[in-house]
Amino acid sequence: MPGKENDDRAEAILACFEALHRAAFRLIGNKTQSEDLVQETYLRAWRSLSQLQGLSGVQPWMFRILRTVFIDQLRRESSRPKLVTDVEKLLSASEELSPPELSDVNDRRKLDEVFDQEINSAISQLPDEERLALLFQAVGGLSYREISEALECPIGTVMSRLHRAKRWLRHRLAVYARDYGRMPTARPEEEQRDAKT
Amino acid sequence: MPKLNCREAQNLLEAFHDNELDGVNSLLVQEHLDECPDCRRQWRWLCEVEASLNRLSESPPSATQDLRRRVLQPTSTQPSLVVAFFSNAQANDWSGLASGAVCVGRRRSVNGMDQGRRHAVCAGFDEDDGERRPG
Repeated sequence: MPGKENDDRAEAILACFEALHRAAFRLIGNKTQSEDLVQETYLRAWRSLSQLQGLSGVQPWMFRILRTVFIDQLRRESSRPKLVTDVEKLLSASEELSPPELSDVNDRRKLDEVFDQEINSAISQLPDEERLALLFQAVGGLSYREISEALECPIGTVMSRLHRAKRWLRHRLAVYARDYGRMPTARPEEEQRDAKT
Repeated sequence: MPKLNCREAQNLLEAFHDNELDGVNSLLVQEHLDECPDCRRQWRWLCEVEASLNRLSESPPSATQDLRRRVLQPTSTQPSLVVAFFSNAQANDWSGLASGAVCVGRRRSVNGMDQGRRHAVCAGFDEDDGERRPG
């Protein structure tokens, strides 16, 4: 491989470092283990550098390696308990909640802090593939097309996974809001009244 | 052009928020939101949760210098550029590297739609009466 081309590829994969590090940390939730994940990702990337086809696809290529390393680690820890296996089943079994009404909340900063803690917990309960799609988008900054390349699945599958994951997050935060009495949830009759006025 | 029902519109809200819909579907969702208070409420709630998601990337733990060293540790397969960069880099300054390479940030524009505009749309509904604010 020509030296200049190789240099460009090296520069491009190093530029993915911060996004990979963020995603790995949110994926695992442990600083030491997430750093090991990033290190192993780069080790494999350096070994496979010659296989990288064009610089435009470098980010999904790096996230695909990250996913592979992550899945390999999960297989080695096959005894790890899975808290959630099917988001659709959980959601269909749950009570359907209307969105909370936030307009009368006094302390938005406090509420944001509470939501931020709760959303981490909710993400940790997602199945692995939904969690990967969600974090690759929200933390890694990948587009749907790039996520489909990273996860090696069609864009429609990416959309389905993101839809399920985000429905789950909205449901969890709505449950939290209702259970802790921070916000009332809107009832259908209120919706109708709002619509008429 | 057929209008969307609530279920169809709500299935597209995430992609609408993420600027991943084509122009026609984006317009259909927007039209539905303009007319449907229930879906507007769903949309506002979606934006709240998306804002929490966005904050995930705003406060990540900083990578340790040890990790940076391990990631960049020169091996026989790494190009000379990395070695040169590593020896010249400031301990905490990676900006030179990032600025010269690919963009890793969230997409600002997809399918001709601007992220800022989408957030303006998100914030453009009045909380009390469900009507869009002028301008």
